[in-house]
Amino acid sequence: MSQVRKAFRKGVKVSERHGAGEWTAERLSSLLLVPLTVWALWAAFQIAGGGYEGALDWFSNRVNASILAVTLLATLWHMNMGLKVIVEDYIHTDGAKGLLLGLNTLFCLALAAGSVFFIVRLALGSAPLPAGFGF
Amino acid sequence: MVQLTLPRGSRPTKGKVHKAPKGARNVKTYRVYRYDPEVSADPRWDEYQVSADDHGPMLLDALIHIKSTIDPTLTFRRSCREGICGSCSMNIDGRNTLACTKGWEECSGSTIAIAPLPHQPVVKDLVTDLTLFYAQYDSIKPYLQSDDADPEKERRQSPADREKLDGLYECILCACCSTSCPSYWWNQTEYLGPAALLQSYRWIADSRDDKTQDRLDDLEDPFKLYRCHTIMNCAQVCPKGLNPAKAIAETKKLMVAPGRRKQAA
Repeated sequence: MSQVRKAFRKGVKVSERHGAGEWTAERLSSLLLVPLTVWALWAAFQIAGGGYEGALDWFSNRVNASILAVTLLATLWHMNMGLKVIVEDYIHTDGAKGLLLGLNTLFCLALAAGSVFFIVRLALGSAPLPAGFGF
Repeated sequence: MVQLTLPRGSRPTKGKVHKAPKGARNVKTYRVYRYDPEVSADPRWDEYQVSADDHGPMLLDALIHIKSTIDPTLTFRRSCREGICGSCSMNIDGRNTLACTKGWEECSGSTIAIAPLPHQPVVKDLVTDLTLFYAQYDSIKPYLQSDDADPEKERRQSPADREKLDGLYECILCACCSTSCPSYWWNQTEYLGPAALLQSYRWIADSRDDKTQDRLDDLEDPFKLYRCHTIMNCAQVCPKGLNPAKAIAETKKLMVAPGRRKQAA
């Protein structure tokens, strides 16, 4: 996460000429998540009670697996942007701020990679983890 | 990390109590924040017990009465006493407002706390240093910028275009909104705050101004504009009944409107 060198004129910040894109992305991801979250809740009820075989069966449907992957990616994208704003709001020490922003991105990327990995594994009918990892 | 508590030396202690004379009726207690930079002591809450029968209906009347008859050292700004100059903005009964338009009868209890505007450096008692606030106002170029040559008479504007300025031009720069905004508390060195942003939109919305895109360029910044998280304290406290949050929302909409022509820095 690069820290942009901020310029000030007469004590007032000079515009960085960006922000509208981030603002639009926050709103687009929110809008996207309204139907996706409702769908995810509905999907959870579909899987509940079906046992391991039932879950695998649900994941083997490519449409289910794809929508779930999109839902998780949109959630993590939205979460990443939201946490970034919170850190920027409250953390003012440059080092701590940079560290937390970096950890936020790493954490969200790791979760995104993990989510997609497990969804693909389950969709292909395999155990969540490759052989030799305890399952 | 933002500072969530007052640092040592800034926490107000219990101060003097000025009792009302015996037999006084309709007594209100004003708990007033006192700080004198020339005395090396913590700020304190002084209490003044005053009969409301002895002064006019507004909080400013009570403060002037206290200064004139009880404690001439009490310091506060005031000028017009009719809600148009914005000088007597302060935090009364937990809410930023103008002392001259707030009636003591509107306050909740018999004890009324009066403090300076929050999160501003205190010069003395109820007087805060608004240097940054004014610099932010200055930065938004609060004047008409037209590409047309100066007309012989006034610049014409249709009644419909003029109506777009209602709810914007009335701002008196009292700073009640900006200093009530948590986003401004934590990030005022980078966030312009509701007052400056409302004033900026006042010129963006003006049909006679030709620098809309330049003005938007100057505002497009993750902090200057986008630290507004629609908390809405600004609209709640504005003593003129304006809605800076709406002006900010309109500015954000224009940032992504089809006609936007962004120039590189």
